[in-house]
Amino acid sequence: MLWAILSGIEGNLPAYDAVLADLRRLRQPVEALYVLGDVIAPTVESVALVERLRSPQHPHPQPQVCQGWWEEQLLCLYGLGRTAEPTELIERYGAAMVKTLWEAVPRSVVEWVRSLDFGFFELDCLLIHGSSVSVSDELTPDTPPVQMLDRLMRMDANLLFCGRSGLTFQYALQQGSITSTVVALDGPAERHTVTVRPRQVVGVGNVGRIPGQATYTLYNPYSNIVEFKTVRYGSGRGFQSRTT
Amino acid sequence: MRSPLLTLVAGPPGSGKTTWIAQQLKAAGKSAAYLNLGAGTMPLDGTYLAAEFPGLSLWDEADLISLGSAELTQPLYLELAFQVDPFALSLPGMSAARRVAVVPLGAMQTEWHDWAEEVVAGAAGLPMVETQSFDLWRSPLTGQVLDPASLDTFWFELTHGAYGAILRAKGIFDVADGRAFHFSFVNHAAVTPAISPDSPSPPAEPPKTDYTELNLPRWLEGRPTRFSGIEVLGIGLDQSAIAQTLKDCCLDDRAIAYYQQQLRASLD
Amino acid sequence: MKLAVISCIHGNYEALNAVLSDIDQQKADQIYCLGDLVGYGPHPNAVVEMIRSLDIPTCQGCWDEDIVEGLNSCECSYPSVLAEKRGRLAHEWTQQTLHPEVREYLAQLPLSLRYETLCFVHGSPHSQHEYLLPEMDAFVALERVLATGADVLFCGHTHLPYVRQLESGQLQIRVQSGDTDSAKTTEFTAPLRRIVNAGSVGEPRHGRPNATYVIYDTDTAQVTLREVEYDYRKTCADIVAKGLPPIFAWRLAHGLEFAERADDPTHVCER
Repeated sequence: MLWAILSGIEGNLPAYDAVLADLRRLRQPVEALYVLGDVIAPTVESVALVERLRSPQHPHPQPQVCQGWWEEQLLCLYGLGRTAEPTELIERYGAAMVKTLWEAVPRSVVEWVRSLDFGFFELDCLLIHGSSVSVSDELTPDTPPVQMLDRLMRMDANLLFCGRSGLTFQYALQQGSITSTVVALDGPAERHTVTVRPRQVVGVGNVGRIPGQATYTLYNPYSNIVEFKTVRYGSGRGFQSRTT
Repeated sequence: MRSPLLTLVAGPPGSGKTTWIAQQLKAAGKSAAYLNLGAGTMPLDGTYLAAEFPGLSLWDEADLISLGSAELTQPLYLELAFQVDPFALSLPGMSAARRVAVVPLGAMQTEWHDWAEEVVAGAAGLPMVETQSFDLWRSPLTGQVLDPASLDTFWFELTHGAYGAILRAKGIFDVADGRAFHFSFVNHAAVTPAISPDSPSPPAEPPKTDYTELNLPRWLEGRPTRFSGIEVLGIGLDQSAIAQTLKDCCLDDRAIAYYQQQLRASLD
Repeated sequence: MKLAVISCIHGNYEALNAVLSDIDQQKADQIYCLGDLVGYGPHPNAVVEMIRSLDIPTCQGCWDEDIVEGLNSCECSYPSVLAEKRGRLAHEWTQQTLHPEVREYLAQLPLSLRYETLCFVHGSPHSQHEYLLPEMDAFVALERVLATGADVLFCGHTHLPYVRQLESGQLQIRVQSGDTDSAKTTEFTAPLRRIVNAGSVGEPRHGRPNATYVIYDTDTAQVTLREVEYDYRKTCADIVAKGLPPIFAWRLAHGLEFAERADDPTHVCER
């Protein structure tokens, strides 16, 4: 029994369909389908994708969707986000993007976005767009080890699946130790050495950003095996074909 | 040897009268009746005993009239709260009653010794005290549900002197998870113990609270109708501060409903 | 050079005075303050005026921020409904008592201060509301220090002073990018780092009413935890006289928290 973990569909319905078709071809059944945010993008196609997620028409399990960076920017536009202004949106894409997003994604989608969880905690796994710090927290293979460990420890997760970077990677903290000595007002100094048990952060890839190629992750919670999948899909319909 | 059904139990506060009665009830294993004379309208000890011994009948003071007209059919334990003068007591059938004084171990001769037929050594309680110099404060809390962490803070403050010097405090509280608890605090070292110079003097016990979860079903719906309340005996009690702090420990309707909903869901 | 670091004065003017005298006797060259100048105590305006008049560099505490924003403390800080009610009363009293210019001063305080390889914050580098407890996971504590780029991180907020040294930290990681088959194993060694908690001047929680602060010697890197006696009864009398909840006076005399308490070393405050 597998978990399929997707992120960053970004309104790309053909990419999403291609991933679902790929899942149908698997021999092992998929028991859970997680979508870690960035479902929408500032495109009108996002609306159709959201409709599909809300009422799936296939035998796959109901997708469990959590909020991502684009969803948070949308909520900010409507005064429902963590900050009053979509400052990150403007910083990254310029002020004009505010209007683009506003016009592309209607209010009906906003209510649905608002109802989404920030992330999921299943068995000993945290599944989230950025990290438990924020949706914008981008974890990559270059993130310093202590920072990765902190993100895992915040929820005491053994595995953190994230999609902010769009990359597929496995970042395993295999072992570690540190010695801590505390001196307080009363009592003798206390000295402890603690060891780290194995934990890892997994970048789950990105489904919709690159035309013609979707990446996603399969995880078997019983064998603890992570597998990255790349799906190539059709040309035409507004997407340029890519030869690899 | 007569074995009267009526037993009168007297002694200073915190000496262990209720505890001794509980021991008798447990040993006898039969149905019995109980009344705390001097408890007023707050059946604190009665409620505690009734929860531990479901067959126990709780009498009202009004029921005492029947002592003159009808024979007792079951043992009746009449606990005399410390402020009741046993010599001034006048009840039908009293002359045949068993008279027990529960006093601190090694305590000097007191008027309870003079009055009783049997003297039982109880806890190291509070010996001879001048009742006029104390404040006795009581409040029923029936219908209130307390936040347990707040109750702990309040009880700690109370028993460590934040609201006056406390000699004895007891209460029955309904808390957020539907359970009811009996708290009993005795400050043994509060007054100079009137210990007999000839008796071995027991070491002064530190003040402590005994907590008992009452053997009652969890209250899962609405405000409890069963009795809860608190009684405090001390010197220089700041009664309004005690009352206000207790009030601040009580949950409002919304909070009670929320906790009860969680409880019912988890018990399903 | 000797630095004195004070924190969490909470309107306790008597305690602040005693601490400043002690700092003079210790011959400290510079004082840093980690915020929470106001809240719970009877002389918030006088405390702020004293800090300002001495030009003590100060960062903004959680209470300072709450008073400016008109908010109440983070719920997770209150261990009980009773504590929450008492905290709210303290907020309301402080709001009514504070002078406008004092409020303006608190509003412009920076979130952190820096001196060479030393960093000063109220709670943690991430939030004024996060408690850096001495028993929190050692690697998570290390992350907090590394996040500042400093060698020593000074913090307050817990009201219990301590020095924590984190050393011999090492982590072995194996990173594999999804689009290649090769994986890279790396050993990371952490440099020695320290967290120093300056305790509390005005609302001690160590079981005694005395004020606590720390002295740091930049030449020897030695940290000294200082405990200073003062006439706490005067503060107790003022608490009652000024209409703050009288229970605060009793709790101060016993060195107990007035309302908020840092309980859970695994909890990460979201505010």
